[in-house]
Amino acid sequence: MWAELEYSRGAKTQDLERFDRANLLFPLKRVNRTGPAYARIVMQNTTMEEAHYVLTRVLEQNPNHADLWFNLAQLDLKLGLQSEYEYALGRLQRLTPQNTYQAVWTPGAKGTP
Amino acid sequence: MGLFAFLGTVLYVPFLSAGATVPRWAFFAVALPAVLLWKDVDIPVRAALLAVAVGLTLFWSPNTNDGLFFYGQFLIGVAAFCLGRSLTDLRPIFIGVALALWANSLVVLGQLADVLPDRMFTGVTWASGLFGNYVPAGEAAAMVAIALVAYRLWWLIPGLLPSLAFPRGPVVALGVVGSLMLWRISRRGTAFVLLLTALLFGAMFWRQGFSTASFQQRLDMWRDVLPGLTWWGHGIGSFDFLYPTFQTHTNALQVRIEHPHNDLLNVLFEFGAAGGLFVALVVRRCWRVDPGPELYSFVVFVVCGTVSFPMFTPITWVLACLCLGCVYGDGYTLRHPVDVGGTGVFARGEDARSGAV
Repeated sequence: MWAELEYSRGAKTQDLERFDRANLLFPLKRVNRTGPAYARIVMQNTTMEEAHYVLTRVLEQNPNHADLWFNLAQLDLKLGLQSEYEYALGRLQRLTPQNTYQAVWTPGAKGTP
Repeated sequence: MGLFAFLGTVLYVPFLSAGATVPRWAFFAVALPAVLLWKDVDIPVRAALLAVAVGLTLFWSPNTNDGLFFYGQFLIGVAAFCLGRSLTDLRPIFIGVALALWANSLVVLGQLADVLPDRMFTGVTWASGLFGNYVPAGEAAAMVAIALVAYRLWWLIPGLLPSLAFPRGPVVALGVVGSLMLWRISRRGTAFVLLLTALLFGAMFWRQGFSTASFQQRLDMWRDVLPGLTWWGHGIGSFDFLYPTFQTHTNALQVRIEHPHNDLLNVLFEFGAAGGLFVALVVRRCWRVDPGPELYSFVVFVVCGTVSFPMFTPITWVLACLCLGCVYGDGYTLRHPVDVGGTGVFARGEDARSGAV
C-alpha cells in the first residue's frame, strides 16, 4: 500500500524520487519496477544520461518491454553510443518483428547520423 | 462473514492509481488468514500440497518478482478455498457482496447522470464505479446475481443491474448459466432466458457500434499464446513477462498485454499439463455434485474467464475460490453417490426396502 501511495503521489507531483521509492518498497509489482523508467521518459525532467542509466537498469530486470527499448535506442542515438544503439535496436526488432525502424538525423543534434 | 465480504467488495481508495485492486488485495491478504485463525479452519492437505506445487513453479518462472507477486494472489485464493470449504453455504457472503455492488451501482448511476465524473477514481473505463473498470464489476455482479436467484433473494437483484448494464461477457455468462439452471425445471424458461440474453447482447453490441475490435484483439492474443504452450508450463507469473516475446499478431510497441483474456489459456501457459489436469479435476467435481448457488456462481466465473481475466481481479477471484471451496465441502453432495459396498453407507436389496441398514 505504501508503495502504491508513493507511485500515485509521484504521478501527481512528477517527483521522480517517489517512483524510485515505490520500486524499492515493493519491487514485486511490475509497474513499480518499470515506473522509474517510464517516469523519466514521460516527464522528461531529468538529464539524458540519468534517463539512460535508469532505463538500462530497468531493462536488465524487465527485458521484454518494447517501448523501453525504443526509448533507450533513441537515447543511445542522441548520446552518440553507436554499439549500444545497435544492441537496443536489435532487441526492439526482435520484440516487434512487424515493424521497421529508421534513424533520422537532424543537423546539429548530438548522436549518430 | 457478510461484513467481511461487504468490506472487501466496497473497498476503494480513490487517490491511488491502482485504487480498485491493491487495497482489496491487501485487505484479503490480511483478513482471510485472520478469519481462518478466528474460525479455526482446517487446511486440507490437498490444498496445502497444491500451494506447494504451484510454489515449485517459481523455480522455472522467468521473473521471480512477478512469480512471487502472483503467487501471493494465488495463496489468497487458497485461503478463500479453505474458508469456503468450512462453510455449508455462502448466503451471508453473497448478501455482503450484493450490498457492496448496490453501492457500486449508485456510483455508476451518479457517473451516468454526470453528478460524478466518469473517471473520477482513475477509472480505466467510463461508468467505472468502485472497480475502475465496468468489466470486473459486471463479472462480480453476474456471479452474485446467479447465486441470489438460486437463493431466492430477489430483493437484492435490482441493485446489481446498473453494474451489469455495460459489459457483454458477464451478461452472456449469466444468461448461459441461468439457462442451465432452468433446464431441469422448465425448457420454456431456458429458451426464454437464452432469447433474452441474445437480445441483451445484441443491444449492447449495437450500442458499441457493432465493433468487433475487442474480440479481434482477443483472437490475435490467443493465436500468439497457443504456440507458446509447453508441457511443463513457464511458471507462475510468467505470462506477463514472456508474452511480448510471442507477440506477432499484435504490436508490442503499441499495446502491453498482461493477461491472455482467457483464464484457461493462462493456466495452461503457466502450469502446462499439470494445470490442465487440475482444471479437469475441478470440472469433474463440479459435474458430479448436486448443483447449488455456489456452483452456479463458480460456473459464471469460469464462463466469464473465457474472454476476460476474473482470476486476476480480487473480488471475483476470492468469490470463486470461496464457491469452489464450498463445492468441495460438506454442503455439496454427489449426484450419484459411490456405493462403497460391504458394510458401507447404503443398504442393498431387501434390507434397503425394509429400511434396515
